[in-house]
Amino acid sequence: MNDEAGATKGAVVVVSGPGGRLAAAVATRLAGDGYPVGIIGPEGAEATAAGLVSAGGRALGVTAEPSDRAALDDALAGCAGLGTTAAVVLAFYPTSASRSRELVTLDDHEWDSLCEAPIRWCLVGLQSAYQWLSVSGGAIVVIVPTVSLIGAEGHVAATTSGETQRILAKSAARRWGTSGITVNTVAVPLDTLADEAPGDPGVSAPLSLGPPALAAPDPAIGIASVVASLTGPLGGMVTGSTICLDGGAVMAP
Amino acid sequence: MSDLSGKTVVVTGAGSGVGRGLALACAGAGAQVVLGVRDMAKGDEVVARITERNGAAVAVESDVTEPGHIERALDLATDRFGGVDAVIHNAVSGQSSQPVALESAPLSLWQEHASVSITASFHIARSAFARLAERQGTLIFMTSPAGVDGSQQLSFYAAVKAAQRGLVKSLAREWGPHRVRVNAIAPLAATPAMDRAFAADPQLEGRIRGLIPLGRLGDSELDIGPAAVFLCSGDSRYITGQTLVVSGGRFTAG
Repeated sequence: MNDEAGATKGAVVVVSGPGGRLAAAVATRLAGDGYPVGIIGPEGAEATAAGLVSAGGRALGVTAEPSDRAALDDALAGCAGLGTTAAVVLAFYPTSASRSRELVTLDDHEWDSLCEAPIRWCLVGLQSAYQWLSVSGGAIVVIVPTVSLIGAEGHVAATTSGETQRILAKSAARRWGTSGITVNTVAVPLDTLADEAPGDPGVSAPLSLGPPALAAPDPAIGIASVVASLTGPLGGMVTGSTICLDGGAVMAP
Repeated sequence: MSDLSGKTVVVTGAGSGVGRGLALACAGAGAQVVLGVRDMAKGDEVVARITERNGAAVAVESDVTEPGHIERALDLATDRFGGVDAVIHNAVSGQSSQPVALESAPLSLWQEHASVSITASFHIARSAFARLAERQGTLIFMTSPAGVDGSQQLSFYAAVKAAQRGLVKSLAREWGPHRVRVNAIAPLAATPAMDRAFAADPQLEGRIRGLIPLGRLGDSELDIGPAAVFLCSGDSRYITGQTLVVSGGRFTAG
Protein backbone atom coordinates (compact mmCIF):
# COMPACT_ATOMS: atom_id res chain seq x y z
CA MET A 1 0.00 0.00 0.00
CA ASN A 2 1.45 3.35 -0.99
CA ASP A 3 0.43 6.90 -0.31
CA GLU A 4 0.10 9.56 -3.00
CA ALA A 5 3.83 10.21 -2.93
CA GLY A 6 4.51 6.51 -3.39
CA ALA A 7 5.74 5.86 0.14
CA THR A 8 4.63 2.69 1.89
CA LYS A 9 1.99 3.33 4.51
CA GLY A 10 2.59 1.86 7.91
CA ALA A 11 -0.01 -0.43 9.40
CA VAL A 12 -2.65 0.86 11.80
CA VAL A 13 -3.94 -1.46 14.49
CA VAL A 14 -7.35 -0.75 15.98
CA VAL A 15 -7.95 -2.28 19.41
CA SER A 16 -11.42 -2.25 20.92
CA GLY A 17 -13.51 -3.59 23.75
CA PRO A 18 -16.87 -5.32 23.48
CA GLY A 19 -19.14 -3.99 20.80
CA GLY A 20 -16.63 -2.36 18.56
CA ARG A 21 -18.98 -0.84 16.01
CA LEU A 22 -16.90 2.33 15.77
CA ALA A 23 -13.64 0.37 15.70
CA ALA A 24 -14.91 -1.63 12.73
CA ALA A 25 -15.96 1.57 10.95
CA VAL A 26 -12.56 3.15 11.58
CA ALA A 27 -10.75 0.03 10.34
CA THR A 28 -12.91 0.01 7.21
CA ARG A 29 -12.18 3.64 6.52
CA LEU A 30 -8.44 3.21 7.06
CA ALA A 31 -8.37 0.19 4.76
CA GLY A 32 -10.24 2.24 2.16
CA ASP A 33 -7.55 4.90 2.51
CA GLY A 34 -4.91 2.29 1.72
CA TYR A 35 -3.60 1.40 5.15
CA PRO A 36 -2.84 -2.18 6.14
CA VAL A 37 -5.15 -2.63 9.12
CA GLY A 38 -5.05 -4.86 12.16
CA ILE A 39 -8.26 -5.30 14.12
CA ILE A 40 -8.09 -6.63 17.68
CA GLY A 41 -11.11 -7.13 19.90
CA PRO A 42 -13.17 -9.67 21.78
CA GLU A 43 -15.75 -10.10 19.05
CA GLY A 44 -16.08 -9.64 15.30
CA ALA A 45 -12.45 -8.79 14.55
CA GLU A 46 -11.85 -11.67 12.14
CA ALA A 47 -15.14 -11.10 10.32
CA THR A 48 -14.41 -7.41 9.86
CA ALA A 49 -10.92 -8.19 8.58
CA ALA A 50 -12.22 -10.85 6.22
CA GLY A 51 -14.62 -8.33 4.73
CA LEU A 52 -11.82 -5.83 4.18
CA VAL A 53 -9.61 -8.46 2.55
CA SER A 54 -12.40 -9.55 0.22
CA ALA A 55 -12.78 -5.89 -0.76
CA GLY A 56 -9.13 -5.82 -1.78
CA GLY A 57 -7.54 -4.44 1.37
CA ARG A 58 -4.78 -5.78 3.59
CA ALA A 59 -6.20 -6.64 6.97
CA LEU A 60 -5.85 -9.06 9.83
CA GLY A 61 -8.33 -9.70 12.61
CA VAL A 62 -7.36 -11.19 15.96
CA THR A 63 -9.73 -12.05 18.79
CA ALA A 64 -8.43 -10.88 22.16
CA GLU A 65 -10.00 -9.79 25.41
CA PRO A 66 -8.97 -6.21 26.22
CA SER A 67 -8.21 -7.15 29.80
CA ASP A 68 -5.72 -9.85 28.78
CA ARG A 69 -2.31 -8.25 28.43
CA ALA A 70 -0.59 -11.39 27.13
CA ALA A 71 -3.28 -11.93 24.50
CA LEU A 72 -3.04 -8.30 23.46
CA ASP A 73 0.76 -8.53 23.16
CA ASP A 74 0.41 -11.67 21.03
CA ALA A 75 -2.26 -10.05 18.87
CA LEU A 76 -0.11 -6.99 18.20
CA ALA A 77 2.84 -9.22 17.39
CA GLY A 78 0.57 -11.13 15.03
CA CYS A 79 -0.07 -7.92 13.13
CA ALA A 80 3.63 -7.67 12.26
CA GLY A 81 2.85 -9.43 9.00
CA LEU A 82 1.08 -6.26 7.87
CA GLY A 83 4.36 -4.34 7.96
CA THR A 84 5.70 -1.76 10.38
CA THR A 85 3.03 -0.54 12.77
CA ALA A 86 2.67 3.22 12.48
CA ALA A 87 -0.23 3.70 14.84
CA VAL A 88 -2.37 1.96 17.42
CA VAL A 89 -5.92 3.20 17.98
CA LEU A 90 -7.45 2.31 21.35
CA ALA A 91 -11.24 2.48 21.54
CA PHE A 92 -12.49 1.21 24.88
CA TYR A 93 -15.94 2.22 25.96
CA PRO A 94 -18.92 0.56 27.59
CA THR A 95 -21.36 -0.97 25.12
CA SER A 96 -24.26 0.72 26.91
CA ALA A 97 -22.49 4.07 27.17
CA SER A 98 -25.32 6.12 25.71
CA ARG A 99 -27.99 4.68 28.00
CA SER A 100 -28.81 7.28 30.63
CA ARG A 101 -28.48 6.13 34.24
CA GLU A 102 -28.38 8.21 37.38
CA LEU A 103 -25.37 7.48 39.56
CA VAL A 104 -27.41 6.62 42.65
CA THR A 105 -29.14 3.81 40.76
CA LEU A 106 -25.90 2.06 39.79
CA ASP A 107 -24.74 -0.98 41.73
CA ASP A 108 -21.07 -1.78 42.14
CA HIS A 109 -20.98 -4.11 39.13
CA GLU A 110 -22.65 -1.58 36.86
CA TRP A 111 -20.25 1.15 37.97
CA ASP A 112 -17.30 -1.10 37.25
CA SER A 113 -18.52 -2.14 33.81
CA LEU A 114 -19.46 1.43 32.77
CA CYS A 115 -16.48 3.26 34.26
CA GLU A 116 -13.58 1.32 35.67
CA ALA A 117 -13.30 -1.70 33.37
CA PRO A 118 -12.76 0.46 30.27
CA ILE A 119 -10.06 2.38 32.17
CA ARG A 120 -8.26 -0.87 32.95
CA TRP A 121 -8.53 -1.92 29.30
CA CYS A 122 -7.09 1.43 28.26
CA LEU A 123 -4.18 1.02 30.66
CA VAL A 124 -3.46 -2.48 29.38
CA GLY A 125 -3.84 -1.25 25.80
CA LEU A 126 -1.44 1.63 26.37
CA GLN A 127 1.14 -0.67 27.94
CA SER A 128 0.88 -3.19 25.13
CA ALA A 129 1.04 -0.48 22.47
CA TYR A 130 4.10 1.01 24.16
CA GLN A 131 5.88 -2.32 24.13
CA TRP A 132 5.12 -2.74 20.46
CA LEU A 133 5.95 0.81 19.34
CA SER A 134 8.94 1.53 21.57
CA VAL A 135 11.34 -0.03 19.07
CA SER A 136 10.67 2.34 16.20
CA GLY A 137 8.16 4.87 17.51
CA GLY A 138 4.67 5.60 16.31
CA ALA A 139 1.37 7.11 17.25
CA ILE A 140 -1.17 6.03 19.84
CA VAL A 141 -4.69 7.46 19.59
CA VAL A 142 -7.19 7.02 22.42
CA ILE A 143 -10.90 7.49 21.66
CA VAL A 144 -13.21 9.01 24.31
CA PRO A 145 -16.67 10.62 24.25
CA THR A 146 -16.79 14.41 23.85
CA VAL A 147 -19.15 14.80 26.81
CA SER A 148 -16.30 13.66 29.06
CA LEU A 149 -14.89 17.13 28.57
CA ILE A 150 -17.96 18.98 29.82
CA GLY A 151 -19.88 16.41 31.85
CA ALA A 152 -23.32 14.95 31.24
CA GLU A 153 -26.22 14.14 33.52
CA GLY A 154 -27.14 10.47 33.37
CA HIS A 155 -23.67 9.55 32.12
CA VAL A 156 -21.48 10.05 35.16
CA ALA A 157 -19.80 6.66 34.90
CA ALA A 158 -18.98 6.79 31.20
CA THR A 159 -17.74 10.38 31.30
CA THR A 160 -15.62 9.70 34.37
CA SER A 161 -14.09 6.81 32.47
CA GLY A 162 -13.41 9.04 29.48
CA GLU A 163 -11.69 11.75 31.51
CA THR A 164 -9.51 9.17 33.22
CA GLN A 165 -8.46 7.63 29.90
CA ARG A 166 -7.76 11.10 28.49
CA ILE A 167 -5.37 12.01 31.29
CA LEU A 168 -3.75 8.57 31.24
CA ALA A 169 -3.02 9.36 27.59
CA LYS A 170 -1.53 12.73 28.55
CA SER A 171 0.73 11.12 31.12
CA ALA A 172 1.80 8.53 28.56
CA ALA A 173 2.52 11.34 26.10
CA ARG A 174 4.75 13.07 28.64
CA ARG A 175 6.56 9.85 29.47
CA TRP A 176 6.99 8.20 26.09
CA GLY A 177 7.88 11.15 23.89
CA THR A 178 11.57 10.37 24.15
CA SER A 179 10.81 6.93 22.73
CA GLY A 180 9.36 8.52 19.63
CA ILE A 181 5.81 7.71 20.63
CA THR A 182 3.06 10.29 20.44
CA VAL A 183 -0.15 9.81 22.41
CA ASN A 184 -3.23 11.86 21.62
CA THR A 185 -6.92 11.68 22.39
CA VAL A 186 -9.76 11.98 19.92
CA ALA A 187 -13.18 12.81 21.30
CA VAL A 188 -16.28 11.75 19.38
CA PRO A 189 -20.02 11.93 20.12
CA LEU A 190 -21.11 9.53 22.83
CA ASP A 191 -23.75 7.86 20.73
CA THR A 192 -21.21 6.89 18.11
CA LEU A 193 -19.24 5.00 20.74
CA ALA A 194 -22.04 2.82 22.00
CA ASP A 195 -24.00 0.02 20.45
CA GLU A 196 -27.45 1.50 21.06
CA ALA A 197 -29.09 3.83 18.58
CA PRO A 198 -30.31 7.27 19.71
CA GLY A 199 -33.94 6.14 19.51
CA ASP A 200 -33.51 3.07 21.73
CA PRO A 201 -35.22 3.02 25.14
CA GLY A 202 -33.25 4.92 27.75
CA VAL A 203 -30.98 6.53 25.19
CA SER A 204 -31.08 10.30 25.14
CA ALA A 205 -28.73 13.10 24.16
CA PRO A 206 -27.19 14.81 27.21
CA LEU A 207 -28.66 18.23 27.93
CA SER A 208 -25.13 19.58 28.25
CA LEU A 209 -24.60 19.11 24.53
CA GLY A 210 -25.50 21.92 22.23
CA PRO A 211 -26.00 21.42 18.51
CA PRO A 212 -22.79 21.09 16.48
CA ALA A 213 -21.64 24.20 14.68
CA LEU A 214 -20.98 22.08 11.61
CA ALA A 215 -22.99 19.29 10.06
CA ALA A 216 -22.84 16.08 12.08
CA PRO A 217 -19.56 14.45 11.07
CA ASP A 218 -18.78 10.80 10.42
CA PRO A 219 -16.40 9.97 13.29
CA ALA A 220 -14.78 7.12 11.37
CA ILE A 221 -13.70 9.53 8.63
CA GLY A 222 -12.48 12.00 11.25
CA ILE A 223 -10.50 9.42 13.19
CA ALA A 224 -8.91 8.07 10.03
CA SER A 225 -7.95 11.61 9.04
CA VAL A 226 -6.40 12.27 12.44
CA VAL A 227 -4.46 9.00 12.25
CA ALA A 228 -3.22 9.98 8.78
CA SER A 229 -2.06 13.34 10.12
CA LEU A 230 -0.41 11.93 13.22
CA THR A 231 1.45 9.29 11.21
CA GLY A 232 2.22 11.84 8.47
CA PRO A 233 2.72 15.61 8.52
CA LEU A 234 1.99 16.09 12.21
CA GLY A 235 3.99 13.06 13.34
CA GLY A 236 6.49 14.03 16.00
CA MET A 237 4.88 17.44 16.56
CA VAL A 238 1.61 16.82 18.34
CA THR A 239 1.30 14.84 21.53
CA GLY A 240 -0.83 15.01 24.64
CA SER A 241 -3.55 16.82 22.72
CA THR A 242 -7.30 16.30 22.63
CA ILE A 243 -9.00 16.68 19.28
CA CYS A 244 -12.80 16.98 19.23
CA LEU A 245 -14.46 15.43 16.21
CA ASP A 246 -18.05 16.39 16.85
CA GLY A 247 -18.59 19.29 14.48
CA GLY A 248 -18.12 21.83 17.24
CA ALA A 249 -20.79 20.75 19.70
CA VAL A 250 -18.14 20.77 22.42
CA MET A 251 -15.55 23.55 22.33
CA ALA A 252 -13.89 23.08 25.72
CA PRO A 253 -11.69 24.43 27.07
CA MET B 1 -13.74 34.01 55.57
CA SER B 2 -17.14 32.42 54.84
CA ASP B 3 -19.27 31.28 57.76
CA LEU B 4 -20.08 27.61 58.31
CA SER B 5 -21.89 28.01 61.64
CA GLY B 6 -24.49 25.31 62.12
CA LYS B 7 -23.20 23.21 59.22
CA THR B 8 -21.72 19.73 59.47
CA VAL B 9 -18.79 18.80 57.27
CA VAL B 10 -17.42 15.27 56.80
CA VAL B 11 -13.76 15.13 55.71
CA THR B 12 -12.07 11.89 54.61
CA GLY B 13 -8.35 11.45 55.10
CA ALA B 14 -8.49 14.12 57.80
CA GLY B 15 -5.73 12.83 60.07
CA SER B 16 -2.83 14.60 58.40
CA GLY B 17 -1.69 16.77 55.52
CA VAL B 18 -4.28 18.62 53.46
CA GLY B 19 -7.23 16.79 55.08
CA ARG B 20 -6.10 17.91 58.52
CA GLY B 21 -5.86 21.48 57.29
CA LEU B 22 -9.32 21.32 55.76
CA ALA B 23 -10.81 20.00 59.00
CA LEU B 24 -9.16 22.75 61.03
CA ALA B 25 -10.27 25.44 58.59
CA CYS B 26 -13.88 24.22 58.45
CA ALA B 27 -14.03 24.03 62.24
CA GLY B 28 -12.48 27.49 62.45
CA ALA B 29 -15.30 28.78 60.27
CA GLY B 30 -17.84 27.35 62.70
CA ALA B 31 -18.62 23.94 61.23
CA GLN B 32 -19.06 20.76 63.18
CA VAL B 33 -16.56 18.38 61.65
CA VAL B 34 -16.53 14.61 61.32
CA LEU B 35 -13.03 13.40 60.56
CA GLY B 36 -12.67 10.12 58.73
CA VAL B 37 -9.20 8.78 59.59
CA ARG B 38 -7.21 5.59 59.20
CA ASP B 39 -5.20 6.26 62.36
CA MET B 40 -7.37 7.22 65.34
CA ALA B 41 -4.37 8.70 67.20
CA LYS B 42 -3.99 11.28 64.45
CA GLY B 43 -7.73 11.86 64.37
CA ASP B 44 -7.83 12.41 68.11
CA GLU B 45 -4.99 14.94 67.83
CA VAL B 46 -6.93 16.99 65.29
CA VAL B 47 -10.12 16.76 67.35
CA ALA B 48 -8.18 17.97 70.40
CA ARG B 49 -6.81 20.90 68.43
CA ILE B 50 -10.30 21.85 67.26
CA THR B 51 -11.72 21.49 70.77
CA GLU B 52 -8.97 23.72 72.15
CA ARG B 53 -10.22 26.37 69.78
CA ASN B 54 -13.78 25.90 71.07
CA GLY B 55 -14.85 24.01 67.97
CA ALA B 56 -16.83 20.78 67.65
CA ALA B 57 -15.41 17.67 66.02
CA VAL B 58 -15.37 13.91 66.24
CA ALA B 59 -13.08 11.37 64.60
CA VAL B 60 -14.12 8.00 63.25
CA GLU B 61 -11.89 5.22 61.97
CA SER B 62 -12.61 5.08 58.29
CA ASP B 63 -11.10 3.24 55.35
CA VAL B 64 -12.89 4.69 52.33
CA THR B 65 -12.34 1.51 50.36
CA GLU B 66 -14.86 -0.08 52.72
CA PRO B 67 -18.37 1.16 51.82
CA GLY B 68 -19.53 0.34 55.34
CA HIS B 69 -16.97 2.76 56.78
CA ILE B 70 -18.32 5.55 54.60
CA GLU B 71 -21.84 4.89 55.86
CA ARG B 72 -20.52 4.85 59.39
CA ALA B 73 -18.99 8.31 59.06
CA LEU B 74 -22.17 9.71 57.51
CA ASP B 75 -24.30 8.07 60.21
CA LEU B 76 -22.09 9.56 62.88
CA ALA B 77 -22.53 13.01 61.38
CA THR B 78 -26.29 12.57 61.40
CA ASP B 79 -26.47 11.08 64.89
CA ARG B 80 -24.07 13.52 66.52
CA PHE B 81 -24.77 16.73 64.64
CA GLY B 82 -28.17 16.22 63.00
CA GLY B 83 -27.26 15.88 59.34
CA VAL B 84 -24.66 16.33 56.62
CA ASP B 85 -24.16 19.64 54.81
CA ALA B 86 -20.88 18.89 53.10
CA VAL B 87 -18.64 15.95 52.34
CA ILE B 88 -15.02 16.49 51.32
CA HIS B 89 -13.33 13.42 49.86
CA ASN B 90 -9.66 14.06 50.47
CA ALA B 91 -8.24 10.58 51.15
CA VAL B 92 -5.76 9.23 48.61
CA SER B 93 -3.80 6.03 48.25
CA GLY B 94 -0.67 5.74 50.34
CA GLN B 95 1.07 5.12 47.00
CA SER B 96 0.00 8.44 45.52
CA SER B 97 3.35 10.19 45.79
CA GLN B 98 5.37 7.21 44.51
CA PRO B 99 6.60 7.44 40.90
CA VAL B 100 4.98 4.94 38.54
CA ALA B 101 6.51 3.32 35.46
CA LEU B 102 3.36 3.60 33.37
CA GLU B 103 4.62 1.20 30.71
CA SER B 104 5.12 -1.66 33.12
CA ALA B 105 3.19 -0.94 36.34
CA PRO B 106 0.97 -3.84 37.40
CA LEU B 107 -2.81 -3.61 37.40
CA SER B 108 -2.74 -4.33 41.13
CA LEU B 109 -1.03 -0.97 41.70
CA TRP B 110 -3.64 0.76 39.54
CA GLN B 111 -6.36 -0.89 41.58
CA GLU B 112 -4.76 0.43 44.76
CA HIS B 113 -5.01 3.99 43.44
CA ALA B 114 -8.45 3.49 41.89
CA SER B 115 -10.00 1.92 44.95
CA VAL B 116 -9.40 5.03 47.07
CA SER B 117 -10.01 7.73 44.48
CA ILE B 118 -12.46 6.29 41.92
CA THR B 119 -14.44 3.45 43.49
CA ALA B 120 -14.60 5.21 46.84
CA SER B 121 -15.67 8.45 45.15
CA PHE B 122 -18.57 6.54 43.61
CA HIS B 123 -19.49 4.98 46.95
CA ILE B 124 -19.26 8.31 48.78
CA ALA B 125 -21.41 10.05 46.20
CA ARG B 126 -24.01 7.29 46.18
CA SER B 127 -24.14 7.10 49.98
CA ALA B 128 -24.16 10.84 50.61
CA PHE B 129 -26.67 11.93 48.00
CA ALA B 130 -29.91 11.59 49.99
CA ARG B 131 -28.43 13.30 53.05
CA LEU B 132 -26.95 16.13 50.99
CA ALA B 133 -30.19 16.60 49.06
CA GLU B 134 -32.06 16.91 52.35
CA ARG B 135 -30.00 19.99 53.27
CA GLN B 136 -29.10 21.28 49.79
CA GLY B 137 -25.55 20.39 50.61
CA THR B 138 -22.34 20.08 48.70
CA LEU B 139 -19.84 17.42 47.71
CA ILE B 140 -16.20 18.34 47.19
CA PHE B 141 -13.42 16.21 45.77
CA MET B 142 -9.81 17.07 46.46
CA THR B 143 -8.18 16.57 43.10
CA SER B 144 -4.90 17.84 41.64
CA PRO B 145 -3.51 19.97 38.83
CA ALA B 146 -2.01 16.68 37.64
CA GLY B 147 -5.57 15.60 36.91
CA VAL B 148 -5.66 18.30 34.26
CA ASP B 149 -2.12 18.15 32.91
CA GLY B 150 -1.15 14.51 33.34
CA SER B 151 2.15 13.60 34.92
CA GLN B 152 5.28 11.92 33.62
CA GLN B 153 6.11 10.37 37.00
CA LEU B 154 2.77 10.19 38.83
CA SER B 155 0.63 8.87 36.01
CA PHE B 156 -1.73 6.79 38.15
CA TYR B 157 -2.22 9.62 40.62
CA ALA B 158 -2.93 12.02 37.75
CA ALA B 159 -5.42 9.61 36.21
CA VAL B 160 -7.46 9.04 39.34
CA LYS B 161 -7.51 12.77 40.00
CA ALA B 162 -8.82 13.23 36.44
CA ALA B 163 -11.51 10.69 37.25
CA GLN B 164 -12.65 12.89 40.10
CA ARG B 165 -12.76 15.94 37.83
CA GLY B 166 -14.87 13.96 35.38
CA LEU B 167 -17.15 12.89 38.19
CA VAL B 168 -17.54 16.49 39.34
CA LYS B 169 -18.55 17.78 35.92
CA SER B 170 -21.23 15.17 35.31
CA LEU B 171 -22.50 14.85 38.86
CA ALA B 172 -22.93 18.62 39.12
CA ARG B 173 -25.25 18.46 36.12
CA GLU B 174 -27.09 15.44 37.50
CA TRP B 175 -27.55 16.79 41.02
CA GLY B 176 -28.15 20.45 40.15
CA PRO B 177 -31.94 19.98 40.03
CA HIS B 178 -31.71 18.62 43.59
CA ARG B 179 -29.77 21.75 44.62
CA VAL B 180 -26.74 19.67 45.55
CA ARG B 181 -23.54 21.28 44.34
CA VAL B 182 -20.45 19.30 43.33
CA ASN B 183 -17.01 20.87 42.97
CA ALA B 184 -13.32 20.04 43.15
CA ILE B 185 -10.27 21.74 44.60
CA ALA B 186 -6.87 21.20 43.01
CA PRO B 187 -4.33 22.30 45.63
CA LEU B 188 -0.60 22.67 45.69
CA ALA B 189 0.26 22.40 49.36
CA ALA B 190 3.01 21.36 51.70
CA THR B 191 2.27 17.86 52.92
CA PRO B 192 4.11 15.27 55.02
CA ALA B 193 4.87 13.37 51.79
CA MET B 194 6.38 16.48 50.30
CA ASP B 195 8.39 17.11 53.46
CA ARG B 196 9.82 13.61 53.12
CA ALA B 197 10.70 14.28 49.50
CA PHE B 198 12.45 17.53 50.50
CA ALA B 199 14.40 15.69 53.18
CA ALA B 200 15.58 13.19 50.60
CA ASP B 201 16.47 15.91 48.08
CA PRO B 202 17.28 19.18 49.88
CA GLN B 203 17.36 21.19 46.65
CA LEU B 204 13.92 20.04 45.55
CA GLU B 205 12.05 22.55 47.69
CA GLY B 206 13.90 25.47 46.13
CA ARG B 207 13.25 24.15 42.64
CA ILE B 208 9.54 23.80 43.34
CA ARG B 209 9.28 27.23 44.98
CA GLY B 210 10.92 28.70 41.90
CA LEU B 211 8.05 27.40 39.77
CA ILE B 212 5.34 29.02 41.92
CA PRO B 213 4.61 32.67 41.10
CA LEU B 214 3.65 33.37 44.71
CA GLY B 215 6.97 31.84 45.77
CA ARG B 216 5.85 29.28 48.33
CA LEU B 217 3.92 26.09 48.83
CA GLY B 218 0.41 26.47 50.19
CA ASP B 219 -0.42 25.90 53.82
CA SER B 220 -3.14 23.27 54.16
CA GLU B 221 -5.16 25.15 56.76
CA LEU B 222 -4.48 28.77 55.87
CA ASP B 223 -4.26 28.63 52.07
CA ILE B 224 -6.22 25.56 50.97
CA GLY B 225 -8.71 25.50 53.84
CA PRO B 226 -10.43 28.80 52.95
CA ALA B 227 -11.15 27.49 49.44
CA ALA B 228 -12.95 24.50 50.97
CA VAL B 229 -14.78 26.71 53.45
CA PHE B 230 -15.94 28.93 50.60
CA LEU B 231 -17.19 25.97 48.56
CA CYS B 232 -18.97 24.52 51.60
CA SER B 233 -20.66 27.82 52.34
CA GLY B 234 -23.64 29.65 50.92
CA ASP B 235 -21.23 32.18 49.45
CA SER B 236 -20.62 29.70 46.63
CA ARG B 237 -24.27 28.79 46.16
CA TYR B 238 -24.14 29.48 42.40
CA ILE B 239 -20.94 27.53 41.79
CA THR B 240 -21.08 23.89 40.75
CA GLY B 241 -19.19 21.58 38.40
CA GLN B 242 -15.95 23.53 38.83
CA THR B 243 -12.38 22.74 39.75
CA LEU B 244 -10.84 25.51 41.82
CA VAL B 245 -7.06 25.43 41.36
CA VAL B 246 -5.33 26.69 44.52
CA SER B 247 -1.68 26.54 43.55
CA GLY B 248 -0.13 29.97 44.07
CA GLY B 249 -0.33 30.46 40.32
CA ARG B 250 1.72 27.36 39.49
CA PHE B 251 -0.98 25.95 37.24
CA THR B 252 -2.84 28.22 34.84
CA ALA B 253 -3.99 25.92 32.02
CA GLY B 254 -7.35 24.26 31.65
